[in-house]
Amino acid sequence: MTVTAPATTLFPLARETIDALSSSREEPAWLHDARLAALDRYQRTAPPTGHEEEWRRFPLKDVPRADLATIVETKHPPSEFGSVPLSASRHGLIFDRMLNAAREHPDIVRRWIPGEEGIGSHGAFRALAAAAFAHGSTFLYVPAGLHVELPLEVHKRWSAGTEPMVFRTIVVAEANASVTLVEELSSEPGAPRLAVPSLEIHAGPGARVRYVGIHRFAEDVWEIGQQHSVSARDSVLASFNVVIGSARTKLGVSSEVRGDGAEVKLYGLVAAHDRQLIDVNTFQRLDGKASTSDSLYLSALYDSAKAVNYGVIRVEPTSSGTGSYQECRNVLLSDKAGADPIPVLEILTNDVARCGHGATAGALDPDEMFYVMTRGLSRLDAEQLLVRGFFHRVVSAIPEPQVRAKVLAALEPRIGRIAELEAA
Amino acid sequence: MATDVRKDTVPDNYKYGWFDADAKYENTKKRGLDEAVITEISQTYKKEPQWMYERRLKAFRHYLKRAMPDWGADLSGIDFDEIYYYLRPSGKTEKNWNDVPDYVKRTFDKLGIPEAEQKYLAGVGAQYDSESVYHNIRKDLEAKGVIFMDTDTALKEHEDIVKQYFGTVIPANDNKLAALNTAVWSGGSFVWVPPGVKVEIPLQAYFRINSESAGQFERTLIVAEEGSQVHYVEGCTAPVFSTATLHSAVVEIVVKKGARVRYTTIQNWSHNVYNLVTKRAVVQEDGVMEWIDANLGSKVTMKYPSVYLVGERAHGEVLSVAFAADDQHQDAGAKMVHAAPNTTSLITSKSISKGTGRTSYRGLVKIYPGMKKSKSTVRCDALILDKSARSDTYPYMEIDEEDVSIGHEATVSKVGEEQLFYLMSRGLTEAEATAMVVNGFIEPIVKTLPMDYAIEMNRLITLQMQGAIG
Repeated sequence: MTVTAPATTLFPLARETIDALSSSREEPAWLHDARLAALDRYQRTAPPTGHEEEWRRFPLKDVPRADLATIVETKHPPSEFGSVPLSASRHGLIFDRMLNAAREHPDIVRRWIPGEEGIGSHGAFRALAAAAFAHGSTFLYVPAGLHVELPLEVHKRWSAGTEPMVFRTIVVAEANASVTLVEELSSEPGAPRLAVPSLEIHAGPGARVRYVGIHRFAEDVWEIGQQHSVSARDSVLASFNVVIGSARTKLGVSSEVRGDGAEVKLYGLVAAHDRQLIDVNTFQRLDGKASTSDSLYLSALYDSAKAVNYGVIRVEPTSSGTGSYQECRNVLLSDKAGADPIPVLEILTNDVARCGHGATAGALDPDEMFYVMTRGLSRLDAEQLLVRGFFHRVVSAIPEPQVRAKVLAALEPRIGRIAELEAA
Repeated sequence: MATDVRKDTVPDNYKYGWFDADAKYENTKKRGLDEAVITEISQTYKKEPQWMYERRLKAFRHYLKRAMPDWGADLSGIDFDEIYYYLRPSGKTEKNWNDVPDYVKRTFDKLGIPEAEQKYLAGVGAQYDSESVYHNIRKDLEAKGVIFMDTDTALKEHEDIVKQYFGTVIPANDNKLAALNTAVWSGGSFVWVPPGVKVEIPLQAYFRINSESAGQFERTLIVAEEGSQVHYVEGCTAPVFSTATLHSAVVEIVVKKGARVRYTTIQNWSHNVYNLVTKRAVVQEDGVMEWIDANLGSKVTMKYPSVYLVGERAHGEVLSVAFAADDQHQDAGAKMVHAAPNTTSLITSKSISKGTGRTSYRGLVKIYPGMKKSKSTVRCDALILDKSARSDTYPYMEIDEEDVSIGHEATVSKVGEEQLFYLMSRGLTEAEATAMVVNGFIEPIVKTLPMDYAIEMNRLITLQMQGAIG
């Protein structure tokens, strides 16, 4: 008898866990089936070995052991609150916990549940989130033509515990809709813990979507997150990831431009200290005519913190006249801090309007420090001011003042009252 | 006599594609590699000292253990069992051009080597398949103590220097191909420049593969003593065969305190050669190493000249030009390792891809902790001439020190329609205008070459460009 051994998974996930999770939440059968399909994918997808280019700099072997079975009986569901009641449904807008949305709008949610492809070597974690997503999952749907004027905000905060935090956020903006979602993730410190967030954004034709993710998990959390966006023609998408917390963060951010004239901007702010490692992989795929995709990641690294940024721009042979740029800048604020910026280009056509990348790493400019200090600022204040200035290019790309204030408030542990002053 | 045996397969734009049918080899041609081949090379023909023989055998064991690189270019076309690892064309290395066997002389006459030597070279070496056939150096340099000879002769005449440096810059187990080279190396140049001696005009080596399925594994070692200076230039050609040929060299360079070495390669292998080369320099304090690396030929090139900056204020530079035409993949780049404070490096890469060609820049800048005030700048520009061409940039950076300044920038573009329009309005054809834009694109590299090489380089670019525009 020959049995094809399933791929060894990083964290064992039993079918019983999925069944129990589904039945305890009284999920509709189709959702249960979708979880089982994802479980099958998870079991067939080999986890990263650490030899993949994306995973070479991330200490996978040290990931805290996570008992996925404990998700079912979680004693500490996160508090979730938002700027509007989480069960907002007006003008066809759906902004709710995933389970509620699945029960009340099965026809809509069902369409988006199967999930999308993303960075290949992150597949196991994508499948894990799709199979075992639990508390903290959100569904946002903006029907065609609807403009949501105020930013929607959701703050998910986990109390101390050891259960893995596995959740999904799905954002769908139909044709010509517009929306801004701010998602803040945090947890109380306790024991080493795993977080596996998964985000999917679908920007329909002509839609405008802005996503701001503020990652401030406690510093014993290992966050291994996936984000994937799909841009239809003439859509405008901007995504911001602000990473302050966690012990180790691995973020796979992929963007797929499928239509003509789409615009994508991927922004990142990393402010890491102590022994934090923030490792971000970006993947920007460009197809279609005259679309653009740019990324800008700025990292300020204190103490022994380290930032890794391995990002790829891939311009498909069938595309024409696309523009893309990838920029990664690192400020090292301690002689033990480190940065590995690795911006990769793969260009399979000569028909590009522009394509390039830039990466830098180094200390703050001593002349600038000197200048600011001659104005009477202490060394610490001067440093905070210059880091705030360094972050400005990303912060200023957020148009809503209240969202900017939220981002600056999140950065306060690093740039202190400089942020406070502005946020006030 | 030299005959063009495969006229049908020789593209018009590769003028070195002929093949000497009457080449004579001393040893029996044998495909594949085992310990017996290594023993034959080391003991039967070269009569090497025991330590070198043991190095070879040890390297062969590393070679068997190590995996082929699974990144970079597609190397599946190499059949290691089909390759001739050692082909010995003549008995000894001649110092007088007239003593070189006729068929070899004809080859190098065609390539213009003796003429070049008379005109502007301080010394020249020529290698034909596995063995060096000619090495000569100007008398005045010889009198100053400069050594320039093939590595095999150096092993006999200057065993102490060779033993002191061989394999110290690139150990045998560095990678599979370096291990292979260490096991079967033959030929290559040995250069030793005494302290304070400046060799003002370039030394040149010329490498020629003549046999089908031949592997060429030359080994070059350059040691520039304190305060000395040397410029070494190499060129490579091969006939056009239908089966793949392998060139896998190892080049080790030691740049001592305050010394300066420039190493220029104009790689023009025919489009059936796999060119997998390991090149590395170690630079001590105040030393300067410059690699000028032009890759125009070959089917696949994987080559990343490296500089290990181990002394304070050492400086490393790589200027890289790659041109990939149809079915070529130039995976070239550079590696700068900053292992001392106040070190600086500069990488400039210019790549051009045409037809179905693919160029990849692959580079690493590594700064170890504590290497304060180090600076590195990487600049990659790519020009893509056709819709079906491809260009990649893989710049790795590992920065573990705060007090540094590191920058990387890359751009990719096509030949601008406005540029073409302007030039064509001045009466140039589209092909001429495109060639002019391409020549302008690589100008910063070409101007660093000695005049004759600059002319050669422009001519090669023009040949590569032929047929680019209908």
